[in-house]
Amino acid sequence: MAGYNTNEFRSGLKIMLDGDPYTIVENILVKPGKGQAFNRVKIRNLKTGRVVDKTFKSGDSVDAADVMEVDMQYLYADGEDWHFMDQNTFEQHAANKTAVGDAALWLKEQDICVVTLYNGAPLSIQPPNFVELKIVETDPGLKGDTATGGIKPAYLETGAMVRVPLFVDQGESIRIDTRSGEYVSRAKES
Amino acid sequence: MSQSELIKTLKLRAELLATARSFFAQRSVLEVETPVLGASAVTDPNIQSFVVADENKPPRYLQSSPEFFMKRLLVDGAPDIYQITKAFRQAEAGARHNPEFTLIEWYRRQFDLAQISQETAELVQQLLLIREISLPIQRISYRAACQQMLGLDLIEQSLQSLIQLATKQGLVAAEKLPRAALYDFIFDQAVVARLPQDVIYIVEYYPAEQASLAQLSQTDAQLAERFEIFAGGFELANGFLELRDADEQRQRFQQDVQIRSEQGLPTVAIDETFIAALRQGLPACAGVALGLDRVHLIVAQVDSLDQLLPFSWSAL
Repeated sequence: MAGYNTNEFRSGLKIMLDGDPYTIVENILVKPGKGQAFNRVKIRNLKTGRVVDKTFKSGDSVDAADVMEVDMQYLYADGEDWHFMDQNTFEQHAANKTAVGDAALWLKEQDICVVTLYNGAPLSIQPPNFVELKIVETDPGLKGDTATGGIKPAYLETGAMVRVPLFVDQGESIRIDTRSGEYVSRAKES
Repeated sequence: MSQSELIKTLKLRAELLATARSFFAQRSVLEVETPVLGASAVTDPNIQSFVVADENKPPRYLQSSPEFFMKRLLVDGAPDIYQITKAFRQAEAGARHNPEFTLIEWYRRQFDLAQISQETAELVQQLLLIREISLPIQRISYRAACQQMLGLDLIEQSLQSLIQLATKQGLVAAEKLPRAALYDFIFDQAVVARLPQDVIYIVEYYPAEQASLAQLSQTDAQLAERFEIFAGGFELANGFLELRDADEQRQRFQQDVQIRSEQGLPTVAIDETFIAALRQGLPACAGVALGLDRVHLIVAQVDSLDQLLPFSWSAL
């Protein structure tokens, strides 16, 4: 298996540790004037998303994780898996519930997502930062109530619940920031 | 760096240099210069020297510290001496490391560890006062510092429990490391990181495994006559009651050479000229190296050398 020396460490590098793939978030050289040098890193477990602090002796090697981030188009869900297509190779990949996780709330057919492949299989899905989804259920808005700050829950076509201003109606499409899960605006008329 | 930032950093550096020089002038310590390009490199497996080609002659080495040359001056009869010089170490680049850096190094004849460490802390104190940063000095032994921050005496731990401790603190493959490296990691991670930053700490009497060029303690063979200074959360200086026994020094270098070969590091020949000088007789003395760039970081109140050095290593 290919490996990296600690002197190649930089943020974004994908490494294996205790059988799990990790990405390096931060890498700091720690070296006493007389004594052993270390690389102190923050690494994110690509399976669990947890960030941990670890330290490597400088000069040590670690295995590289066979991890790739690929832009893919979301095709459909079949009740068990979510299906994506690599638009360059037209190769299709099925992601299970664990890999998709909360991203399922924001997946809209034909949107382009970042699929993290680990040993060739989807490990996690990152939806686009902004998606436009249709409201399937919300309380009726009050006429003329466009300026006050009131909000209400709205249920989207994907099953997600988003808090929206009172003036937004059922059947409308809205724009959402998937990183915060917050309403941004009404969708542009298309 | 903007023009005003540039002028600010240049002026501060000039003040630091001037303050250091007047500190030593008041104490009648003589400023000296020694070669930056030497015929030998240090054997210390943790320090990699830059090698410089010299036509068809043997290569020269950029000095990782002026220590050997300064000790040779002392052997030849020099009085108390100091030097402000550039030192060079490969691959040490980061927020608080630059492969080319400035050391203030000095040697005091007949000083003991308490005297040299007190003087170093006083110099740091004066340098910080340039920008009205007034920090108290506190002295603590390596053992007591570990006891206070970790609740145990590192030196008394078995290798196995040091490995466990290091692993618990997040060190990967700790079982492959020798005691000295485990001390380095645990001390930095669990002790230095927790020291209050607004105190100049003198930490003295390091484990014997970390003696480097220091004498072992006469009263406790587990300890070395070595100290370090910490302030602002990081190391500023490292000093020794200097080892004068040529045979013991050679033995330690031999050990370094052995470790280098085991770890596949570049081979470095022992500096026999230095050993010969020790054999001739190094006067009783204590010495210390203070990292000026580190002090500059604290005085300028910035986090990274990039914000300080007009020409940062990554952008030459």
